[in-house]
Amino acid sequence: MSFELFKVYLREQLTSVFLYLMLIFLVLTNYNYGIQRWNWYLVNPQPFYEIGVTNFTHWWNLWSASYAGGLVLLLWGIWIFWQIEQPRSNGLLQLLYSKPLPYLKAAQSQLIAFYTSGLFLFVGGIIGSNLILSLTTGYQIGLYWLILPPLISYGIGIIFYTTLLYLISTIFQDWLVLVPLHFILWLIFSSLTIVGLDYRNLSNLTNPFQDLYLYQNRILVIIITVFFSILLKYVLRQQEKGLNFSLFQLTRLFPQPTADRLLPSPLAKIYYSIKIYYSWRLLLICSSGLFLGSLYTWRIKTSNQLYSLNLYWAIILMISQATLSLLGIITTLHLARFEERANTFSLLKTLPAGGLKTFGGKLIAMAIYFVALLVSFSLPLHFLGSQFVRWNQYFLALIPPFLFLFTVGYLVIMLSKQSLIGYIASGGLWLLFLIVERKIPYWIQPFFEIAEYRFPTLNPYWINKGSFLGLSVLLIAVILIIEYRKLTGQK
Amino acid sequence: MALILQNISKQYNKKTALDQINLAITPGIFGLIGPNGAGKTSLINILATISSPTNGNIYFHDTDLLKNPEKIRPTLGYLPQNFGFYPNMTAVQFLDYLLLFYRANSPTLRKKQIEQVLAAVGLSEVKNQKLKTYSGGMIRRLGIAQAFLNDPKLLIVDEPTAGLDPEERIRFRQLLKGLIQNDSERFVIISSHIINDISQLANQIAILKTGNLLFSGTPAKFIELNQKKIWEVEVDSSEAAVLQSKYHILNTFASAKGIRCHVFTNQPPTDSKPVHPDLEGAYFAFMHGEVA
Repeated sequence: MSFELFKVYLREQLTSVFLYLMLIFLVLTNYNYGIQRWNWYLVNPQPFYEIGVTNFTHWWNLWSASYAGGLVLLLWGIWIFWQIEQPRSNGLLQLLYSKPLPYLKAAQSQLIAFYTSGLFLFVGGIIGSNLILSLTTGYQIGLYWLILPPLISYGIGIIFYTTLLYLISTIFQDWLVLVPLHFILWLIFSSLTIVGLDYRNLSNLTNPFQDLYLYQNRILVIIITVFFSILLKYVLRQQEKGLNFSLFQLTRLFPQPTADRLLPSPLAKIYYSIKIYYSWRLLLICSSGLFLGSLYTWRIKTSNQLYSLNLYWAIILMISQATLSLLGIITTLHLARFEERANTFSLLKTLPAGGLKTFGGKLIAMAIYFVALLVSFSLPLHFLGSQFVRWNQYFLALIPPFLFLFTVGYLVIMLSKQSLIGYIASGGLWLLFLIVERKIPYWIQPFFEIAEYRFPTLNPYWINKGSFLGLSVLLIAVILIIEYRKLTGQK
Repeated sequence: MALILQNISKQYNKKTALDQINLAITPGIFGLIGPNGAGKTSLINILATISSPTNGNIYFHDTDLLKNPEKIRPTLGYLPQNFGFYPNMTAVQFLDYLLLFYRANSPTLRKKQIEQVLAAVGLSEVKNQKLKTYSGGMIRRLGIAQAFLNDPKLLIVDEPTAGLDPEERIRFRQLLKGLIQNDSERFVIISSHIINDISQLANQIAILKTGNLLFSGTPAKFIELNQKKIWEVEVDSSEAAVLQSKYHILNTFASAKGIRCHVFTNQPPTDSKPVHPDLEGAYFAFMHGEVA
C-alpha cells in the first residue's frame, strides 16, 4: 500500500517539467564541479584540510563549489515543497486524516518519494556531468570513482538537507519564513565545515575510505539527520492530533496587517508588493546572482594561475552565463503572466487604483528583479574581485543584454500567452548567442568585452551596448502599446 | 440507530467554539445552520474525526467515535469546506490516490469505483484532464465524488454548495437525495449558510450561534415555532421608505398597488396579514429574537 502511495507521489513529482530543468541544472553544475575538482586536483593535489583555512583562494574555490551543490538542492527542495505543501496546507490534510489509513503514512511515503526523486536527479546529474567531462576532456574515470565518492558526500548531505527542509516546511508552513531560514542554516552549516555539502573530502581521490575526516563528518551528519527525522515525526504527529498546522508559526509574532488598517498606507503597499510579487523569487534571484557572480570572481582571481586550462574556464564562463540567464528569465518573466495566472488582473482593473497602475506596479516589480539580479551578480566582484575589475563597470555592461533578453521574453509571453514559450524563446535565443558568440558580429555578442575585462575604451563596445539598448527600447515601446490597448479594451 | 452527541464542548485557548452540545441524530439528512463563527465547522471537524472535543462523547451505532475513530473512518465520507487537491493530477489519479487510503488493493475495483462516482457527478468526460484546468464548480463536484467513493454510512459535507451555480446546486441536491433513497439508514450531515439548500434537503436541523445549540428538530417544527412574526403589507412606492424605517423587510414583490412587503415584527402593521414563513424567513425571525 505504501508503495502505491509512493508511486503516486513520485509520479506527481517526476512529471513536473521544472524537475527536468533542475536535472539539467544539476548536470551543468556538476559539470562545473567536476571540472573544478579535476583542475584543482591537478594543480594542487593535497586535500583541502591539509592546506588549512588560511589559504583564502583555496578556501574560496572550494566554498563556491560547495555553494553550487547547495544551491541546486535549495532550488530543487523549494520546488518540491511548493508542490507538496501547497495542497497539504488546506483541506487536503483534513480530508486525508478522515480516511482509514492515517495521514502519517502518506507523509512518510511522501518523504520517501521526495528522497527517491532527489536520488534520481543526483545520480543522473553525476553520471551526466562525468560523462560530459569524459567526452570533452578525455579523462577516463571509472564508474567506482564516478559514483561512489560523491554519493557518500552528496548523498548523505542531500538526505540531511531535505530532512531539514521538510522539517522547517512542516513547522512553519510559510514560504516567506522557509526560504530565508533554510538558506541561512545552509550557509551556517557550510561555513562551519561540519556538515557542509562540499566535496573537500573527496579531493583525496586515492582512497576516500581511508579518510577519517570524511567519516567523522558524515557520521555527524547522519546523527543530526536522525535527530531531525525524529523531530519531524513528532511534529507530524502533533499536527495529526490537533490539526495545528503551524506549531511555531513565527509570522504570528508580528502584527498581521489587515486590509482596512494598512491598505491606504505606504507600508501596506510595500507589504503586499512583497507578498504578491517578490517573496522567495527575489531571494532566489539574488542568491543565484551571488553564486554566479562568485564563480566569475573566482575565475578572475585564479585565471593567472590556471591560464593553461583556459579552455575549461571558457566553458565554465559560458555555462555560468547561460545558467544565470535562464534563472533570470524564469524568475523575472514569471511576472509577465502573473496577474493572468493568478486571475486577479481583471479584478484589479476594476479597482479605482487598478488598471494602468497595476501595469506600472508590474513593471516596477520587474525592474526591481532586474536590478536585484545584476547587483547581486556584481557584488562579489566588489568585495572579492581584484583591483583590475570594477563591479560597477561590470554591472553597467550587463544591463543592455539582460534588458534585451527580458524584453524579448516578456513580449513572447504576452503574445503567445504561454510562459513556457517565452522562457524557451528568450532562453534559446540567449543560448544561441552564447554558443555562437565568437562567430557572430560583435555588435550582437551578449557578453562582448566582459570576459576579457578590457573596459570600454573602444568604439565597438559602445556599438555593442547601444545595439542591445536600442533593440530593447524598440521592444518596450511595442509592449507598452499592446498593454495600453489591452487595458483600454482595444484589440 | 443514531448518532448521539453528549455535552460536546470545544475550547480554543480562551475562546469557546462549542458549549455543551447535545444532539440525537437519526438517519436521513441533518442540516446544521448558523451564522459565521457559530461553531459549525468545529462540530463538523469533530464528527469527521479530525479534531477532538475538549469535553463530551459521541456515539455512532453504539461505537465511541472519539475513542475509536479508526472504526468509523471506513464508513465515513467527508467533504471539507476548503477542499484541497494536487493540481497536476487528473481526476482519476486523484480519486485513485484517495482510494488507496481506504486500503483498496485491487486496481480493477478501484477503477470501477472511480468510473461510477465520476459518472454520478458528471465528470467522466474530463476525467483525464489535470485538475488545474478544472473550474471551481468542477472541483467542487470532484470533492463530492471523493466523498461518495466508499459508499459512506456517515457523510459529512461542510458548505458543499458555496460557489456553485444554480444548476450545479440542483445536481448536488439530487445526488444527496439519491444517496438517502438508496440507503435509508445512511446519515448525511450538511453544514451550510445557504438556508435554501437545507430547506430542500434536510429532515432534521440544528441551529448554532456562538457555540450554543439554539434549536434542534424538524424544519416543520422550527417553522411552527416562528409563526406570526412575518407579516405582509401592501404599500405604494412612497410609503415603502417609511415602512423600511420602522420594520425589518425580508422580501419585496411588485404588486398592482405598488409593493408587497414581507416585514418581520411582533406587532403587525395595520392592514397586514400573517405570512406562513419558509425556513429562511423562520431562521431570520428566530435569529433576530425579540423585535418591535
